[in-house]
Amino acid sequence: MDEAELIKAGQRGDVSAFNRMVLAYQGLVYNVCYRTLNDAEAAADVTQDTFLSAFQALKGFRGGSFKAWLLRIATNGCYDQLRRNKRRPTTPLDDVVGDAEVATAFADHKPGPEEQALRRELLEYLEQGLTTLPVEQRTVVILSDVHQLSYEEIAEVTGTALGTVKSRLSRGRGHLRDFLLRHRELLPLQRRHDNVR
Amino acid sequence: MVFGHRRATECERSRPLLSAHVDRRLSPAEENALEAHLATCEACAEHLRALRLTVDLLGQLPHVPVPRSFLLEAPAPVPHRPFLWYYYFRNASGAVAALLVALLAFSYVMQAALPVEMRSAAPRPAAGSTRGAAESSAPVQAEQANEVARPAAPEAPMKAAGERAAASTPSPAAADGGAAPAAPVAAAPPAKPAPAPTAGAAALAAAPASASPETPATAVAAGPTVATAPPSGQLARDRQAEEPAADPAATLPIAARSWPMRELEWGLGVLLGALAVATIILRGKAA
Repeated sequence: MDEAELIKAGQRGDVSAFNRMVLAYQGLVYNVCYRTLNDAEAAADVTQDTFLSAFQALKGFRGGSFKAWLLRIATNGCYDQLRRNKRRPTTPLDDVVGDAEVATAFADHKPGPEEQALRRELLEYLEQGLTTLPVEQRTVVILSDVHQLSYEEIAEVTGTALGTVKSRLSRGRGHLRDFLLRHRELLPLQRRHDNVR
Repeated sequence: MVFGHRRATECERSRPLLSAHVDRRLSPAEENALEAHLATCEACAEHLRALRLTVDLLGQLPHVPVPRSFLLEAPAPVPHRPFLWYYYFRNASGAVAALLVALLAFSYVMQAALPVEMRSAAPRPAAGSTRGAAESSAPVQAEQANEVARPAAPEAPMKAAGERAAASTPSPAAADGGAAPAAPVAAAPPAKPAPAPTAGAAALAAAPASASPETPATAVAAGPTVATAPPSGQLARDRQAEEPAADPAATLPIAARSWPMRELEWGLGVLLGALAVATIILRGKAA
């Protein structure tokens, strides 16, 4: 059964059919929420609410990208959560992302122990930088560069024009670049320069 | 100086395009212009390299495993149709039973409103209004009076008398609860011009004690019946001549003329029985 058939079954109230889509998208939705909120517990709550809301509103789904529709519900839930819990302390990423996962992320490069430690520190710093972005820019950067959504999909998720997506992405990336350059010693820029050239 | 200012302007124009350039989302013209600028501007090329590194690092952020399943729980099963039908039939049975009880109570009240001597002649109240009750009780008295008057006036037009009694029942019938009109109606039958004291006596006997003197028909018919019987008989003949066709319904028995009420009660009773049986069957299925 493909996605369109699952959606139709879900619109008829078939929870098991909808749960198959939950299984397919729960990782994406949870990660978007997690990166946006930087809080594992709040991200889980928003993810659960997202699927509940999506199931209840599924009859109003008029086609298009189901992924974008779902992520729009999720990002709106994240915005609400951020507004509610502005002063709430967040769970450090160290608690969630273990060393093994970070090592997996760099498996392709086969770095040595020293470089592994350096990259782990760099990624932690980058995650910290993400939290400093305005939430609209952060959402666009996460959707584009972390989850590889196209500009058109991001425009659908955020409900904005394509030009707005481009400008938010440009400003967000520029902000992160400046943030990383403050710790220039962490950046393997010289090696990157060689690769680019 | 002019050259430096132009370069700064080109850098300001190029920097916002670098992000889209990384994603290859620039138009060919914009791509060409940017490439030309990057070939001559080391600062913007450095900026681009740092931007690529940032995007590259963002793509390498680890995927966080979900802490738990987000599957939705299936809702409780909806009760099936027979169970819902049971409720429909149960409520309908209750409504019909209430209607039947109300109808029977109304019948009882109407029966109790009749004078004692009329209850035996009219075993059931005939209609759902006081006017109907008056119409049905009036012929009873008319027939009783006719029975008495028959030997003296065998050719008396009883049907016409009964019809007139029903038709000419005055409006005070409603005020007197249907009993008072019986008196004038009963007094009407002396149909022959010959003196008929027996008819007048029967009318007096049949007239209820509560007959109000302010009722015009009572004053005319019950009071001076013996003295004014001949004019009353003349009037009856005149009315008979004016209304030659008597209503056939007036000749029907009392029970037949009260059929709508009786039929309604029987119909409701049968309907209630059917609904009760259906409710019991559905209740068994639902359980």
